[in-house]
Amino acid sequence: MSERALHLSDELAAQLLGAAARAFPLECCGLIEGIRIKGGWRATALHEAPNLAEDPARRFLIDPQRQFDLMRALRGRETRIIGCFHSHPEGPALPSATDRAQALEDDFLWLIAGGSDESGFTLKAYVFTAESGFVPIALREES
Amino acid sequence: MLGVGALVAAAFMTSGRPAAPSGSYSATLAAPSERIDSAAIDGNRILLRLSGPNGEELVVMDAGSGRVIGRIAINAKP
Repeated sequence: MSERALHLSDELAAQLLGAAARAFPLECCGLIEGIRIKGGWRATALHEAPNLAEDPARRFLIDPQRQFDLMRALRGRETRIIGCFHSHPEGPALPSATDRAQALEDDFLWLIAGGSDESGFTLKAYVFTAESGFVPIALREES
Repeated sequence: MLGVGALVAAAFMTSGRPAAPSGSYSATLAAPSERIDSAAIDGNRILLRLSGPNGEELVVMDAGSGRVIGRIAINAKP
């Protein structure tokens, strides 16, 4: 299989890392708007959302109203929701057991920022499929 | 390390774009053996593109404090 990648602008990457730093020690979360392109995906916008989880330091729950609103706003447009993002305060940028339990949608991107306010965050990208689980994908500069 | 910090400042002096809201700042980044390919300001964040033995990296820094907010490996195999 050819390597797939997420194309992400520096500004969007900085937005995500900034959200992780602001939310620390809680998890930030949100949705990725973008399009499928040859060889992967291109992110066009990040939509931060309130984390409604009961324990937002360890879990995340994207406000469903925000998701519905975004889906409605994207009707008739070229872009769609291609994935989600969240942070792992004091944790690695790897899918957790909770992430694995919550992931359902095939070909859905997961951006995870792991780290801390002090050390900074590292960002990694994954695509989830029911068949393969979380598969790491490369991050590319927007072209 | 000091050399990299100096390069960061030089990059912004020649960018022609406004730096931090105060008009000046200083930042030092520990990035031995890495080269700054580009630097930009995005709001209150400094975006640095570095390249070195481990590949390309985007480093996001807070323009006010100089603190590294995060790092992202770019164009690397996952």
